[in-house]
Amino acid sequence: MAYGLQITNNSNEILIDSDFAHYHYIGKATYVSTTHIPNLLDGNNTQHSTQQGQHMSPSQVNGDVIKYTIATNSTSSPPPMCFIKPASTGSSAPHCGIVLTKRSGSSWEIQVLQTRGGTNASPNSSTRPNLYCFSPLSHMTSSQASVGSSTYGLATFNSSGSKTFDSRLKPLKVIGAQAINAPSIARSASKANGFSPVFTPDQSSNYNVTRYVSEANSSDLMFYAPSLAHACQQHSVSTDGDGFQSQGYSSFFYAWARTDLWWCFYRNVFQLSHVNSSTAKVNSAYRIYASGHVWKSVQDNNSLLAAIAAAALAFATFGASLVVVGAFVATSAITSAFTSAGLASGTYLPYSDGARNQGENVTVLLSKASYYD
Amino acid sequence: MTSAVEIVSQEDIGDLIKVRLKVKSSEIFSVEGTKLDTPDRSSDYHQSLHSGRVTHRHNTYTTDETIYISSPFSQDELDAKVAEIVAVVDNTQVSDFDHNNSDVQERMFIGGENEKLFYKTTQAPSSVISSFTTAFPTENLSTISLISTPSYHNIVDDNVISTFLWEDDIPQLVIDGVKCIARSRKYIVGLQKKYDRCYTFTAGETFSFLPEGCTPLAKSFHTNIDDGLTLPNFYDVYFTGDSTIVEEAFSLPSKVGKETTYYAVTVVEGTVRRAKQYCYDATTAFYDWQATVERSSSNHGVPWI
Repeated sequence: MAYGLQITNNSNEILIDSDFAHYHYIGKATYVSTTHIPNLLDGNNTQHSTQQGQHMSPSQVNGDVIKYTIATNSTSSPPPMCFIKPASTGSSAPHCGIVLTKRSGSSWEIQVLQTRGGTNASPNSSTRPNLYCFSPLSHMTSSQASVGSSTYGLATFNSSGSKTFDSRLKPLKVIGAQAINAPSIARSASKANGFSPVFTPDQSSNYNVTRYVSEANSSDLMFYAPSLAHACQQHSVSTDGDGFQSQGYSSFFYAWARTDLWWCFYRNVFQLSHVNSSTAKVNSAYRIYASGHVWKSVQDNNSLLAAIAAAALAFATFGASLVVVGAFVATSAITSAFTSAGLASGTYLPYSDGARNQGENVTVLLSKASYYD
Repeated sequence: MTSAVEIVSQEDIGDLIKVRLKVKSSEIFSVEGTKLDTPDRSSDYHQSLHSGRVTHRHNTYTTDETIYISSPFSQDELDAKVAEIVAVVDNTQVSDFDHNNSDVQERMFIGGENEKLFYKTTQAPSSVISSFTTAFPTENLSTISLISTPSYHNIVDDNVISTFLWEDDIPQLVIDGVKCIARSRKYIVGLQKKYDRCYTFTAGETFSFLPEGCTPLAKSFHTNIDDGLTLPNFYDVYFTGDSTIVEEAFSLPSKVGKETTYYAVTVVEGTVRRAKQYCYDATTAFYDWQATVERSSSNHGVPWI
């Protein structure tokens, strides 16, 4: 650096550098709406197939998808850094995390997934979090970049003459950082529970984050954690039968088979807790973003042997392509539900049991909302 | 119950081992909803259920589950996890295989309208039962297996309720010396009179009024006509065929069942006076006419076509 300004701390870490595009507060993202991925529930029945379980499992509670928007100054501005200020902290607080950031004109839409409690039939939403957003000065709108009547402070400029730091515009102050990971999988225990399989996550990881400032509790904390980790888990049940139905004129032999597939698509989300005055705890876990239950039944009454063979074939075909068939059924049947929810339609079951990106380090940054309120 | 466990796959995924397994129940056998020990299918007892026309079921339940256990794992750990799943499968009940037969057994349209619905008597709406018992208070409902809504019959010029009787549910039904597939009893609501319609084999007879490609399945005649009731001279021909061809031939609107659709025409003095569409949205009592005709022809020892 031939010229300019660089300020470091006593660990020689850079705090201000006139060549850096420092992030500054651009405001709280504006709340738009709360929705959730619709239940992807569909299947067919035949006369003798069991009619149990034609519902979502009680534990398949999709989290709230909370939409926010924040303006930037152009259609080419990079996405803002958004810190989540949860409405509550502690082990009972809902987990939340940013699951989508997308451009809409010169604004950005940010979607936050937040856990819902209760059951699928009777879910409970929690108070939504606030999003505190930060952007380089060069991408702020004129109102965001306005210093008002303030005439003192520190500003730096790069070699092109562009302002890169301005103490009057609330630069981002990080008070703690920690590399974390998502758990290997959402649930390790058995999901088997008849026609109501259990998908409640039972795996999480705790990380203690040392704060640079002392705090009596975590109520003022907010976090940034750009995780891409996600997981899918599924459970299937196959039922079949054959027999003789005494039924007036049309007493008959029959055979049937039905296969059910329940699944959940989890996203990595976080929960803040207070440990002590210098330490906060980040709980990294998966929570349900989307879920579904599809099933298929076949029955044949013409010939018992042929019926058993037909049912077995249909079962094998369906069983071999559960994900594909499940996706097809859900997509074709429930598209309108996505439109109503204002969400992109899709299967939301990208793969079978497993997790992705859970091994990638995620840097969690902590800051305080009161710096910007 | 003894369930069978199959380990389908095992995969090391770092700190966990992913195990996919299938657990299949032993056969759950029930007669009229009561769980019993599974019989040998070739046993006399089992065969007697068939010959005696006793409702019974053979069912199984299989779960396909992926579990995750710490790596490395002990056999005890795996066994404990598997035991949880086996316990669930072992708890499978006869009621887990219960089903509800579709309430509406048949939707029939005359000339594309005037919908007439058939129900099992035990499942029929009270309004249907009430219509019948009001007009025919002395009739015994327990003898009727299937009953329809009242529907205007433009040949008889009155509302008619159709029924099927339990007593006619026999393999070799013969009426007035004619080998029959089935018989229905028709109740003329306004006149409070009844007659029987018998469905018999077409025995190779051809019907020039049927569109090309259609296959006749049965033909009707009337008998057991109440005193004082004079019926016009008419009969019905029941057939199967491509829906678009039949609809075009008889100027019918498109109406098809989710499972099957069949057709009939009413012939008066040699002329087709009306066409009917029979729609089956589930595998109900009537939904497969051809199988019924084939079964009856086999029972009678006559060709059906």
